[in-house]
Amino acid sequence: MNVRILVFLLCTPIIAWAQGFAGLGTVTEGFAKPGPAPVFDFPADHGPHPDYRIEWWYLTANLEGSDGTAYGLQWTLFRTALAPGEATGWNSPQIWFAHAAVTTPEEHYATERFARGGVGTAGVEADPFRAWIDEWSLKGPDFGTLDLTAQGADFGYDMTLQATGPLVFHGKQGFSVKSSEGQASYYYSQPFYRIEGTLELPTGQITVRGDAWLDREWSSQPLSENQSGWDWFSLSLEEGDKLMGFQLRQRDGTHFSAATWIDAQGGTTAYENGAFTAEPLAKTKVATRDVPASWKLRLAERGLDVRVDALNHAAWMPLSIPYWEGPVIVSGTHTGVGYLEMTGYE
Amino acid sequence: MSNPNLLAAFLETAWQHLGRGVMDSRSPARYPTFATVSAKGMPEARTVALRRATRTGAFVDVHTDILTPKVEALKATPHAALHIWLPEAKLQIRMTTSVEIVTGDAVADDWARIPNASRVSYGTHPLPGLPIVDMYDYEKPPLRERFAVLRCWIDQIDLVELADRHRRAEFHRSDEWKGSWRAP
Repeated sequence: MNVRILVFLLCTPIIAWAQGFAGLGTVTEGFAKPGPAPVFDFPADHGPHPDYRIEWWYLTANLEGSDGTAYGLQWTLFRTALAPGEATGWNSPQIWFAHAAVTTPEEHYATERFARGGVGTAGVEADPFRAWIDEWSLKGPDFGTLDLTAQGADFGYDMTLQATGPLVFHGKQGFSVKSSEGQASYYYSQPFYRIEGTLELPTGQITVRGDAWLDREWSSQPLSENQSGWDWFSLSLEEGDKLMGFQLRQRDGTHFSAATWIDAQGGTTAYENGAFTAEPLAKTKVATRDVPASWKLRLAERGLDVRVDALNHAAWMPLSIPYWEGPVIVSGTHTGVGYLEMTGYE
Repeated sequence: MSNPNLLAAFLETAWQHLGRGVMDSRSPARYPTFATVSAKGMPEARTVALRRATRTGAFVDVHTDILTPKVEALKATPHAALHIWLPEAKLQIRMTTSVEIVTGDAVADDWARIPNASRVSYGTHPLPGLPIVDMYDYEKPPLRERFAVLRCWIDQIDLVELADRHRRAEFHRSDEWKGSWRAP
């Protein structure tokens, strides 16, 4: 998940507030830039990289209640920097914000938090792992065993997560290219969490369990000026394989795509631009926007030709940075569940 | 070209299992096999409980009664191998370690965290391993002065994963845990 925030950074008033309008055109000045062939250092790289401009800890989960009802859950902590590096107290240039959401077949609940860095109200520590903003947190003794909690005005959740497979790396050993001009990020995931816990909804408590996927990504570079939006998919297939695929929509009508096929043991195959395609099917009117909540996805080299349908078409995130994000159902040559994020449908 | 991050992720998985073993008594990583060499040069192995796993510094802790045969063995040969088999993950973790026997004030905090019900493991009379007439012909008073922490400084970690496609890697402190793939 990805470059989504890059779209936000370029397009949204809240980031204009955070960075200053003048900063939007020169966003990489002074910041470190991702380079090819990264060598990650764990557990340190589970923590923040303040020399890079943007970073996130992005968790999505496909859940099921005891009656078989499907639910979706999102928890994301974003870091964005006014300047590279870290400083103590209010001198910290780091800004944190977070999104939490729960999707049911009928409803979609979402809320957000903001915090300055340096004063203890938000941050990430690598070992033991702890990511938090106010009372929201994702923490555990390590990255493989986590407790998650978040609350909004009308919903909340308390979950436990247990990794059952390895970390996986996208692109070329974690160097994920986002455009033909070379924009890129560092990108790895833990897509093998078992998750269980309790959703707090206006209708009451619901005990759920399922599978979760956590993305780690950081960069300093914006999308290409030619790119207007982003469609990102994470699919967990019944055969045990998983697929991460994204396409960036370009203003000339073309796309830039990439995908990672993840086998049940965590072995990966990366696919470069063009191998993975995402074709929007019928659009739905959501929050006054026309959003394609049904898609045809193809990855010919894996014999994948599936339809992806939103569990709830109304999974719009009506936050300071608006976008669509929700659980999906997969049918066709492969079946399964997953998550879809769409940005740039303003 | 080999992807070094896959080695890092493999090692990260192992440390997560070790951490889980410390936290969760239901984890198979909770009870490693702890192998030493006796003063007579013979191999000895027994099950222990994993009490601490610290990646920074790369050590694991095991608690013991200072008067057990394994401590005598470690005084003669201060090295131990730990073996863990995780059936669900189909992962074998083997660690070769140099063992420091920590006692006295240095283990006061560790002793303080041990529940009273567990402290009886450190003070068995007669001494562990000695012959007794009847099977319950012993006492187990908690004796603080016989409590020790075996701090096992990891020199080498060998991981073997027996999933559909087997893989094996070896990591050494001497090369800062960069690791290398080995034939499984």
